[in-house]
Amino acid sequence: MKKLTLAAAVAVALTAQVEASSHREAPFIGKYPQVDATDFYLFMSYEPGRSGYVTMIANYIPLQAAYGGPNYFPLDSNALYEIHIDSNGDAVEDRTFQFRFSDNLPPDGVIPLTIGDKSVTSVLRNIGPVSADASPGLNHSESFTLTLVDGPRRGGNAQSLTSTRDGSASFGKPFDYAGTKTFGGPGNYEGYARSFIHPVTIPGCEQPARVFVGQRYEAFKLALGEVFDLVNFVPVEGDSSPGAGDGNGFPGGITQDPARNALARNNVTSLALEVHRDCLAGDDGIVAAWTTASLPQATILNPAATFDTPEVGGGAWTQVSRLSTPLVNELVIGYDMKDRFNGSEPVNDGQFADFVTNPVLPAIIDTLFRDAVNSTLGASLATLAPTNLPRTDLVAAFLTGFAGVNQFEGGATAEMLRLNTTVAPTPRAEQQPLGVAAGDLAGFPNGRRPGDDTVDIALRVVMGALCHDLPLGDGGSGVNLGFCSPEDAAIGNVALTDGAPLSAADLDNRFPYLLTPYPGSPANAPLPTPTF
Amino acid sequence: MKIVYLVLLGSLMITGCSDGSDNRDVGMPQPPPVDPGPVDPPPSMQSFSTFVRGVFSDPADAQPRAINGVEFVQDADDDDFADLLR
Repeated sequence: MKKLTLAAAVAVALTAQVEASSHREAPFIGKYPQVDATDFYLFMSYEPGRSGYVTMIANYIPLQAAYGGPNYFPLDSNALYEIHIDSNGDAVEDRTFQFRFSDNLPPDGVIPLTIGDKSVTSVLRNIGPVSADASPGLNHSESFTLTLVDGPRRGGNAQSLTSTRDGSASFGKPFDYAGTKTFGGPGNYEGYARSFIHPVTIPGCEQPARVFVGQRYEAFKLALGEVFDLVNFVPVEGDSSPGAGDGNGFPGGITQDPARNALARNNVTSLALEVHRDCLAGDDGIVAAWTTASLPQATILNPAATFDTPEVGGGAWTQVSRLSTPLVNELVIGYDMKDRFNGSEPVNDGQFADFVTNPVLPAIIDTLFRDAVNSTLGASLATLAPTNLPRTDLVAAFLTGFAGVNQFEGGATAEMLRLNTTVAPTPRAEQQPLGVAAGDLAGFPNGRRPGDDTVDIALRVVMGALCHDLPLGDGGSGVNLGFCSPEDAAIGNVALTDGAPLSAADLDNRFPYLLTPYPGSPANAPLPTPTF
Repeated sequence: MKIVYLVLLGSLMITGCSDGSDNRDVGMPQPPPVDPGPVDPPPSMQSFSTFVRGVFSDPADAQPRAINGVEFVQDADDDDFADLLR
């Protein structure tokens, strides 16, 4: 157990370097929000009664303003969305789940209205109530197919997943949460959305799976604007303990406050899949995963666009988005290489190694805060950035996982989210937002749960938390992991935070875990809360 | 009237190729050598319309075509892709 704990703690450090999430992180992908992956979660299902299942959630379409009608936020029917599974650690997918979406009009076309002596098609996406039972006023619905590819994602053996209810290979996707009136009142949307959780049969897998694709409330919490405004706050706990409000922490530091979450009232679109571990993991029980989105290499715009054919794509699938561990591309990869990273595959990650061994983010934080820290503390620190270059601690954790925790024996060095499926899930009420670093071995970086506060973990690790003793020894005694020493990281023992708290209590206790979306109407509706 | 269609090849740049270096620091442990991915072709002149038609003829499972170093030559008379709007 000690070995397990120590190794996992190292992983925390590395991923901390990465911080969290991936919203509009690269210059090119910012042009294509429909295929922009924002977060990827991989964890053992902690919904009661789902022992042995793995939940994967790939979120797309960042920063959805809930009121964004009348079209709201359909996925791209011209794109290929994928979740890749590596079961043996060679950084090459062994299985891939492929999602393809279709835009559908009613069988007789857009709903017409009789205006005077003419029949005229209606002007909005929905012109009447929407419910699980009937949506006669919905002009535009979405459906999808789900295919499992064994072997290489291009050219492997592809088989359709089918409904256990009726054998269908086509699945419905709920209409976005336009507002409470459309869905018959507050509280109705979740029941409507849950009718789109589909039980499916996976070829070659004994246990049925579940799939849901639809709009959800953004689970990631971050003081996003301030972070990218040259970290326009003092990123240190300002109280004696989180949320105490006594101002007895770091002088000038911040108090934990949900209002600091810049992503409140934003939604995302989740592709959620729950599959039994026996259908994913290899002999050692470890599974690695990542999500990508691809577009046809060429697209021709139709100057006489129709609903069915506004454009035509052709040629090879060309990957434009990639995500596993949060914020890798945002805060680790160089600006001129971010879109290269989005088009890359884990097996080729050696090309990005310098960004991990010699990370830039600590130097930026040093530039921004060294003088202020020295002034506040009356210190004369030469640098705030860890000096143990190359950062072998981050390399080991970032590219390999940790022996005894989530490392494949003889596995490749590649950036993938790795989960040890033999570690039992922690019940929601007992989950620790800081994951493994707080002794919760079922949390980040052993996979990632929606309630893991990867931002705070990241901030603390990037500045060298792993160079200091961690309470991971017997009886909570301090242990140095051996990658570096306290002298290498001047502020590695400081409680860095963005002040936007996140915990499992903010999420549902059942699949797909992320909450009911924020409604487009009424204005200033209360924020979503767990329903289960 | 001849209709000229706008062709977008934005995603092509994503498949751009590396310089062949894996950029690893000799002082760091572990990471074994890895394949940095496809290598750029030498600079060449390409008819844009011919290239687009070639892309459209590729199967979806093919490797995307690299374009780094390729200089496209556009001829308006040839850039009519109405037949591809199938």
